[in-house]
Amino acid sequence: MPSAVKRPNKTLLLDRDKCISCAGCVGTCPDLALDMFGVDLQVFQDKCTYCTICVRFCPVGALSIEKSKL
Amino acid sequence: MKSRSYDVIVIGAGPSGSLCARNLAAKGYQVLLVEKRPVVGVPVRCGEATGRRARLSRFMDVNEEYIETDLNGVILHGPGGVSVRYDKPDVGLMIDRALFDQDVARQAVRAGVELCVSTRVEGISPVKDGVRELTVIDEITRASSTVTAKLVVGADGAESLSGRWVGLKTRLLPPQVCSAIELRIDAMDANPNHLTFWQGHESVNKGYVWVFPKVKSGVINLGSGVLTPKLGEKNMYDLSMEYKNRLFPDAKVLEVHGGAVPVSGNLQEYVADRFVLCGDAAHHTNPLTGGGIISGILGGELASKWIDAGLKAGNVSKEFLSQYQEDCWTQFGKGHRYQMRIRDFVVDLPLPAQTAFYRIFRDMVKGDLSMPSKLIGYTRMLGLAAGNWKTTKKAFFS
Repeated sequence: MPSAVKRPNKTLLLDRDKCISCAGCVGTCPDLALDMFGVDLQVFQDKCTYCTICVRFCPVGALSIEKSKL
Repeated sequence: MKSRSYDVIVIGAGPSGSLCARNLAAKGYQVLLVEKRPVVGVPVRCGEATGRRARLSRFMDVNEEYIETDLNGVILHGPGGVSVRYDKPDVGLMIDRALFDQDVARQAVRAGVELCVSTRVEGISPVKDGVRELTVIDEITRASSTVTAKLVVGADGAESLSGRWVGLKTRLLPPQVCSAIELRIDAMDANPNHLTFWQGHESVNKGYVWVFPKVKSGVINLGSGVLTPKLGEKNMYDLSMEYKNRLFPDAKVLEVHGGAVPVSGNLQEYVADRFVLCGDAAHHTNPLTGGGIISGILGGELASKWIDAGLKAGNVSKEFLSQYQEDCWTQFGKGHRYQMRIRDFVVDLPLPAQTAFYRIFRDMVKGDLSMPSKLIGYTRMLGLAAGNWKTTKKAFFS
């Protein structure tokens, strides 16, 4: 069961003020964890494997990975 | 949508998809063109420089409406203060991509294509009873429906997911993808008919910064793009702003846009049973310059040609459609691979060698790229790279 898999203690954060909706990260994500709805980028945390490719890619630095404080 | 089943469904109303749809509709097929954005061509994600008028007119009647500037040359600022200036009338065009995309889409609609904007494809089914079924969502009403097509064309650009739904490996793999940003600036460049580039270790090595003037609109596209940077490296927005503040300190930024440029050369495989990719989705972009308008259009045209042949023959299997792939390879894929090797060669050179390379290149251009100057230039380049013969060999001879 997917819910039983232990998720790493991380979150992919999106700074919506910086995001320019270029959708470049959507094509680079290996896990289909990102998708663009209109001008709204959606992050599917449950799919993300924190590979940092989108963080490296993002031309405005709107994406970052942070350790959850929980 | 007027119907529930079509001959061909094209996903994405960019130049490549629209052109492919136009050609197929002109041949009498029932074609649906779906675009997820509410307005075709907006927002623009492009540097907006393209090839010569003559090349564009091979595919369509060139409409003066979207032409911004006739380019008369290129200025390339390399490392070590070496600048290469190449003057030649009619080297290319600056276009307004929004108007251009709309113009091609209009041609498609006039040819009989049904265009649906604000319509998003959510999934493509495997082939069943000789058709593929698409799940589409109306972005305004959020209503979901299904349509079937004998063949699906994925022209959904760099962020393409359609190929991945049918099991093709189309993901943009770093570092073979360019992270790019562009600022539209309310100013005019000192060289309004030239494209200006900065490349090399002293500016940006694994990519370039560009200034493209759009004379008719009186604005400049200033942008930068690099092969995917490493974690913690400067992002493209900051780099572009740095250049903007240096070159046009008082000018206002009107617009910021960006995107991914696939620079891997043509994909290994981009056809499946009753499915083809074209344009940016098939990585039909030039890996050296990142330009993809002309090759995308050519990809769309070749796709329409082979789809027509396939549907007429009643065979749109992967085997048959792979002829389209081979056609693309011979028409521009090979050239792109060669340009990719030149790119990798220049990027890998250390600073002194890169400066020497630019000097040789400048001298070649000064000699007006005639045969003797070319020969001397190539000989000197080989001498330059003698220290790293393996790379040179890989770049130029394999």
